Amino acid sequence: MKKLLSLTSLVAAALTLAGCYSDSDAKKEKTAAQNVSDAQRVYVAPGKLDDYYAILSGGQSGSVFVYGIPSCRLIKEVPIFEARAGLGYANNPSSESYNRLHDSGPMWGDTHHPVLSQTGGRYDGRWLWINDKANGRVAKIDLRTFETVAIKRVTNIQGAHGLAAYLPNCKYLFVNGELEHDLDDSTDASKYHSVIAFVDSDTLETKFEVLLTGNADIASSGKDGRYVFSTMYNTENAVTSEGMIERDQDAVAAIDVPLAEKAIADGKFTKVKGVPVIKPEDVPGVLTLIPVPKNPHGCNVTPDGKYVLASGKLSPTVTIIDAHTLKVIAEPEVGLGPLHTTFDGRGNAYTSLFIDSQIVKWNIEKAIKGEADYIVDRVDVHYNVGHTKAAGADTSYPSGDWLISLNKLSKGMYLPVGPAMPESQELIDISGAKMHVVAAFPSLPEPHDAVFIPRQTLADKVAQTYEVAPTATKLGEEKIVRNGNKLDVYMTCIRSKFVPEQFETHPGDQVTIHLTNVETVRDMTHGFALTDHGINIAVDPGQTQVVTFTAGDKGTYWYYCTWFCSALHLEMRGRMLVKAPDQVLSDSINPAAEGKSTPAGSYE
Amino acid sequence: MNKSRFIFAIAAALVAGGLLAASLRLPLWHMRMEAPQYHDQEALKVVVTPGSLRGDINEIKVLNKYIGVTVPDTLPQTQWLPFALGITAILGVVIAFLPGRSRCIAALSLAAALCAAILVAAGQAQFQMYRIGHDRNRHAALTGVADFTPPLLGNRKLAQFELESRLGLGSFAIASAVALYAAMGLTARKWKAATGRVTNEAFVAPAPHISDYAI
Repeated sequence: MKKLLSLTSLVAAALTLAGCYSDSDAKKEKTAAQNVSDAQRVYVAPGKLDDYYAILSGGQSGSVFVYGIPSCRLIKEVPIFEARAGLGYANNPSSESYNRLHDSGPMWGDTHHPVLSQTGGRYDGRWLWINDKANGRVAKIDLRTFETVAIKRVTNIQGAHGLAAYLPNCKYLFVNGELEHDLDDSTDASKYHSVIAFVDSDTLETKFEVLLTGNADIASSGKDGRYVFSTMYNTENAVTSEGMIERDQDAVAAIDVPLAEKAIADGKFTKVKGVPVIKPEDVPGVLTLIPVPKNPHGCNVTPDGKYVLASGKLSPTVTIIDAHTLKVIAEPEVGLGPLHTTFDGRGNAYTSLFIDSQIVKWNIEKAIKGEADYIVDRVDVHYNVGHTKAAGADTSYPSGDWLISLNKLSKGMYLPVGPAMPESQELIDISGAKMHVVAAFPSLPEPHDAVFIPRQTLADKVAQTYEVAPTATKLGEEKIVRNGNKLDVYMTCIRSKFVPEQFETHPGDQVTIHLTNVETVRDMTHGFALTDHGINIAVDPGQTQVVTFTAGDKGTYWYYCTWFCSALHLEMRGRMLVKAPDQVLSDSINPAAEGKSTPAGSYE
Repeated sequence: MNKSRFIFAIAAALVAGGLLAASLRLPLWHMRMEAPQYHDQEALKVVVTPGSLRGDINEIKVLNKYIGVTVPDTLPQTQWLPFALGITAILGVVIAFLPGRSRCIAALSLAAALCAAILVAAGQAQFQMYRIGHDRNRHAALTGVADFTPPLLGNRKLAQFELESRLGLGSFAIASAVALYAAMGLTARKWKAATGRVTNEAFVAPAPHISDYAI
């Protein structure tokens, strides 16, 4: 009996010990195993390609960032509204990119909402459009080259905030004027209005506008070509933050686009600064204001086109509106600070909760039916999430695999680099019933929104080299053309040589370099930096770039290749010889061959 | 017998001629150059047809500058080889109309001449390979690359590149034509040996009327 008792206590002790082990260490092991599993999900081996391009707006960086998903690797920044000297973008007065940006307004912008072109409810991989909130502009990026190809000022708009393409054909972009002002330019606040502008998605010309009282915020298009939607705050038309939250309700604006087009055709508009502006009171039905709790923010149409979801921001609710009858049908509570909602294509909505620092997953139909268990899951994000976007959520066919949480604060998530902390994004796996944060990655300031393009969508579209323009300078046909105090240098570059390797000017002459990269292989970009003149251009294979500048004081100025290209990269340079005004200049492209004193540059 | 012999000869001549004509468009020889930054799909390729030198010649020129190699724009073989092949094809058909013994000698000579032409072309290529790797600009940028001869056939490592040279379809087409001409000649002889007849008709008789060969 005694023996049995001692045996029993021994077993009990062993079990207790085992229990201790499983409580602490097993949990650690589980976490470690989860980390390994997460790491594997985002690991993309060197040389392998990601499944998605995630295009994040750059906010005050004036650009967009292209990340690979799931690896979260930054692949490219596409400069749009701000010069990037390193990329030769808009930094050289007179260059094409400089002129385009300069002609449209300030040399800085604030990008918020990237929009992809669609055909048949799917991304077609042609265009990316984006707004400049600060200066009322929109830009178009060609996805064959990932380069900005057009920038236009939207007439009568201050603060171009929400941006969306009118579906299903993307004929227009509609641009939300957020910051109210008098369209006739007075400072009389009683005359303040804003507009929603319809812009030709190809030319970016403003075609017509609908006048609003209050501020249009976030935009989303119905799927069937009838209505487009915008959340509106400050229907009070106040000019102080207190005034903007006075009323209990603001609105979702629904614009009947075919009716607006008919009104334009029928002449029911007033022209303001050359653009037809429709006053809603003149065209009944063109604008419907659907009441929602005050100061809503996100506006998102579900992939099936049935509902518009207005995220409450100050109210813990999301308002579900029927996208055809324009009636509010439900207002489920989701958490504190709901800002934006995105979709997985399986009937679930994912709403970012700014104040709760969470993404909440909830079932739309259950919420409409008033079923108690409409909240499916919640996951913590770090911290204060703004936009959130699931892959393909703007299309009719979301992928339902990945979701990105664009967090406003990072607070110690990364190595400390001073008080200015990086922005942070988190990648969340939404393929299962429960969400799971798989990775976090920092970025420059400040992504507001994101879109995902599947790799296959662009597989055959993205160019590897430029097609050489018929007017481009060919190898062996380089020349220097002088016309008074203007000098045009038609230059080529190929590893590891500029031709010509020298040209001559007088101080103050206007020099234009037409530089063609005659490389035929991909990734062989060359740069052209000119010392002490602030000039740097980048020329991709097949591309021609033009830059004009004024030659400095007399002396020798070297130009050199800024993109490391070859074993003779450092030797890839030439001279601008600025000679005294009384000296005669040579326009030979190869003085060495003509027996002059210049040492031969060629090793052939 | 006479008729079947002729049918074979004319068929062989036409097929061989067709093969030679086709070879004008087909690659005689390929070279593939692979390096870390020219990997897989991006490996550099050189293709030689009887009349052309094609492939990533521009890029190969750019790279070879660094080691003082001048890559030619054209090959000397391409100047004469298409004509040689064309004339052979025509001669083959003419020979098919010759009587037995003449046909035998002529066809075998044609096969031998075609072989010789190919050997000369290959010899020129080998010489060129040697020159490319030895007759270099001594002031070239990169040092430390010893003189070399790219392989006419097979694999070799040269600087950062792994080179692989092999014959193309065109070469096999020409080889087949050689075999057909030889067969044309040999069958003419065999027929004579088998029948034991002195081919009076071949040497004495007037040329057969075309109707004899009506197929």
